[in-house]
Amino acid sequence: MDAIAALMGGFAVALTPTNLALALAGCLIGTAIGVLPGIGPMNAIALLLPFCFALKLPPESALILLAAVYYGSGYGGRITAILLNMPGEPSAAITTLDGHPLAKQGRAAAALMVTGIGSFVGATLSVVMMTFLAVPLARVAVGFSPADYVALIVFALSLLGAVAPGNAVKAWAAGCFGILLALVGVDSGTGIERLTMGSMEMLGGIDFTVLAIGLFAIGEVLLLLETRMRVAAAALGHGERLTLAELARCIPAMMRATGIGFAIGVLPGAGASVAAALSYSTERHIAERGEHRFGKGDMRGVASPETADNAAQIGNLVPMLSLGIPGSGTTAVLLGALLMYSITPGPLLFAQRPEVAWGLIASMYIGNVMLLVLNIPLVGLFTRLLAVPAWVLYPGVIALSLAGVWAVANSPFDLMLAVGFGVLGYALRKLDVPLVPIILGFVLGRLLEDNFRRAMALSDGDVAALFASIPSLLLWACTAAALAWPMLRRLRA
Amino acid sequence: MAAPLLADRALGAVLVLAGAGVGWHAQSLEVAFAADPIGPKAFPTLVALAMAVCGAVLMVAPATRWEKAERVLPGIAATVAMFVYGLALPEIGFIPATFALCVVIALAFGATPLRAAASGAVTAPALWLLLDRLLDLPLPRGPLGI
Amino acid sequence: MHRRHLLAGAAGLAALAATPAFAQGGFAPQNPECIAGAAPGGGFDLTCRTAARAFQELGLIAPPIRTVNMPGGIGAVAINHINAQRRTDPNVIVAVSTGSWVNMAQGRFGRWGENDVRWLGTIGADFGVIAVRRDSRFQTLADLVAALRQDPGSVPMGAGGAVGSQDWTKAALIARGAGSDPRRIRYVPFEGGGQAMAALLGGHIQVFPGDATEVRGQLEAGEIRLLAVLAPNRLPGAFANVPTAREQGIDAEWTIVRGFYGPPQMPDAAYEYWVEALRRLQAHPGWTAIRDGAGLFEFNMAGRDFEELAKRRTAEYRALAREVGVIQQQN
Repeated sequence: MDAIAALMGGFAVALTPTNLALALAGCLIGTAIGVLPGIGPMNAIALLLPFCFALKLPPESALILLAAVYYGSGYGGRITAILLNMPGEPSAAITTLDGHPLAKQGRAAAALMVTGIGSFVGATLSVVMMTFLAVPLARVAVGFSPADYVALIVFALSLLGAVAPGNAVKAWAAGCFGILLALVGVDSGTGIERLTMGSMEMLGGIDFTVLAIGLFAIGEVLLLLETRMRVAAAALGHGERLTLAELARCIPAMMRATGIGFAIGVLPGAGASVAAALSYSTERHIAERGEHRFGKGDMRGVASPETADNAAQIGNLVPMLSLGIPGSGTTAVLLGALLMYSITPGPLLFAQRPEVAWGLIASMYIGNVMLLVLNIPLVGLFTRLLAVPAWVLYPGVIALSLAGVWAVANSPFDLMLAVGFGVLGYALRKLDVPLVPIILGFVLGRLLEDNFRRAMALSDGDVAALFASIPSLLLWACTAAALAWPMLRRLRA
Repeated sequence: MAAPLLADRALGAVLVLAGAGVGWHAQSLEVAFAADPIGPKAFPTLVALAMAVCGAVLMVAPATRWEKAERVLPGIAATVAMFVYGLALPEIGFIPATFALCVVIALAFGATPLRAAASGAVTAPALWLLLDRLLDLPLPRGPLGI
Repeated sequence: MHRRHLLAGAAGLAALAATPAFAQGGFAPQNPECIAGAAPGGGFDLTCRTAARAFQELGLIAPPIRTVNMPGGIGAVAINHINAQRRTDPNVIVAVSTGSWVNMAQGRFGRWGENDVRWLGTIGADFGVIAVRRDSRFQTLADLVAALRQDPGSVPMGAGGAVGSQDWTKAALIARGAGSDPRRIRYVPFEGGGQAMAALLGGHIQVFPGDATEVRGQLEAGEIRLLAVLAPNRLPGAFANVPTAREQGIDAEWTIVRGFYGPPQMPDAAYEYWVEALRRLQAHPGWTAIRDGAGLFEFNMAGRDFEELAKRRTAEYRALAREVGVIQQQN
């Protein structure tokens, strides 16, 4: 097989001492960046790029380093999500749902372990798929039309009820609120301002970092202050380590999450957050049939979104490398880096510059093994974070979070906004309003409106266009099933 | 019976008001022409309506009791400190502002003044080194140059 | 204290060995910053980082220039920041592009306009192109124009900007050239040029009025064809065989200028320094390779000339926006 031979050539590139060292450095930096709230791989890659030029690194080495930062960050976001209920990156918001309850039960180490393994499984299997199918997959992905995206997003939203148990009305209200927050700023269709209240600072919309840090990090700290840190103290109990039986139960979930994550990642118009949300809620629907502790600390509830997140990250590289189409902000920065090296990603990359394309793919196999090996011993170190006295830990967390907000836009306004969202997050927790639907509404709302309006512009207002393709019909059928399922069960009961 | 559930009713009322406000705002969105047949109004109007309906349901059928906080002062102190931090950061520079913020929050978490000062004195320069020096994310300087 | 940054320091040492940095009227920048009105990876960000790297590597400016990202409203947040808080700062430059002029012309920068900054100079330019898929029914720009003339709504077009944006204006100029109403074209805005390219390859849109740099890879791979470049003259390299719109009888030109402005009350010594620095950069033999790497074509202008260009273009775009109905008649 051609791909195998080419991959072997890639390993010859990736296994040179320099490139191994660069991959390791990238993995370390990536994990650290993933842990820091607000500071994403984009910043790190933009920073490392001039460093690559200064060291006169050849393009394949530079890409190996930068890509390692990118997929390494996918391992980091879960850590604060599980330990402190504060997601380090957008897609880790879902991980807090079951991750933090597990930590409170003293099972932080087990949750970190299973997510580390899940990340590895998701990423590695995705690299395998990428090895053999990159170019054909990317061609299928561009066939996904705005109408198909509408069907996909509606499907994801139809599972919203599953993501937030408890009071459904509050979950839906939270989802609507999240959608409205996403609409703040310049309308991407007509260029007019919406919901900005005349403020210049709001023109660019609300940044995800500002929202997530406010609702989660600041809101959590305010709640802890009120309850005399009883919650944090509970997490200190040393629970059982991850058992093999638990891991085995998670394996099917990881497989499904890899499939969902990779497929969504390959689509240029959807991201890792969508993948994490979709695979979590799918898993929950499946688990409803048997015994489960979803929402109260189920291992599958952390394994699934983290696996999907890493699979989607790798998937995102597929259209970038094989078509030159970035699917996310970070892949856009990676693309820019390649262009600076006078390398044009696209269908010709694999033929013309095999050392770059295959060197990168080979290095991703190696890098993910490194990340797994790094992450397992680090679990103990990370959980020790909970032993740090509150008066050291939480001032540091708040200062780091606010500095992260500052780094995004250098704006005092955004700092105030984050604190405002923090107070809101505190109040919503007290009122038992789930926060994750806000995040999902925020991520999905804009995608839904934009794609719906695109689809309508293309069909000149003909709604039938939404049901005109096979993928869209399949997705609508899934939506119908997801909505009908709980009713059917109630009928039977 | 209604009194303990007041919080949910209030939340419902806020949602109805916010939904109405957003819906009203959306109607004022005028464009010379839109490239798509839907335009910028429809989506916010619809979502605002849905949110208002959720709010109305909550007003009628509230569910959650608001648990009274055991302590209020530390939370207020931390919130005020964070707001002031947002205002003061560009003026007085990252390290002094962050030091002050950390001290207040550490005190709110029950640290002794000495420990709080120590926490701030370590955290502020450490973060500055990490973000400004190592990650090249420029932080505000202030009159002291840090 | 010498505030040299850890990593950039390596590049800085190499630069010091090459040519000594110059001084102009006694001004030397301290802790210079370049504000990019976009997130990392955006056009403004690339402008800042490319220039910063070149100034450093070519030894033109000794202290490293740090890039500060201030995303929002295609530079609206940045111009507001400069005018509200740093009106006299000699150590800050702000990335600007034709897109900023379009926004100024349409009043999307609040009360700030082309007279509220000091125009420094350019580092290069990109040019609009009209791209179609390999198997498109349009062979030449004339085919597209004929289709638009018959029914402007019959050709789905799409690119990475809203109605009134640069990309939309490119499509509108073609429609106007065809003698049809730009308001009646079927235009679909996407989230960035990459997604528009995906939609073109996927067959959801038929025409992508993009930029030369973002279509180069697909052009070289033969996935797409270009009906025209919207440049005053033919472009070099892979684009050499593509005729300009004007060659084909359509008066449509779109140059995406990339450069910098300074605060409105930047001291004259600092202004002269930055203009001179850009002039030296434009003339430096080492600059060509760096500019090419950033996907920019040669477009050199600085000082007074650039200011005139900025004012002329904003006036033109204001007139154009009124003509095609993006903004109302008054104001």
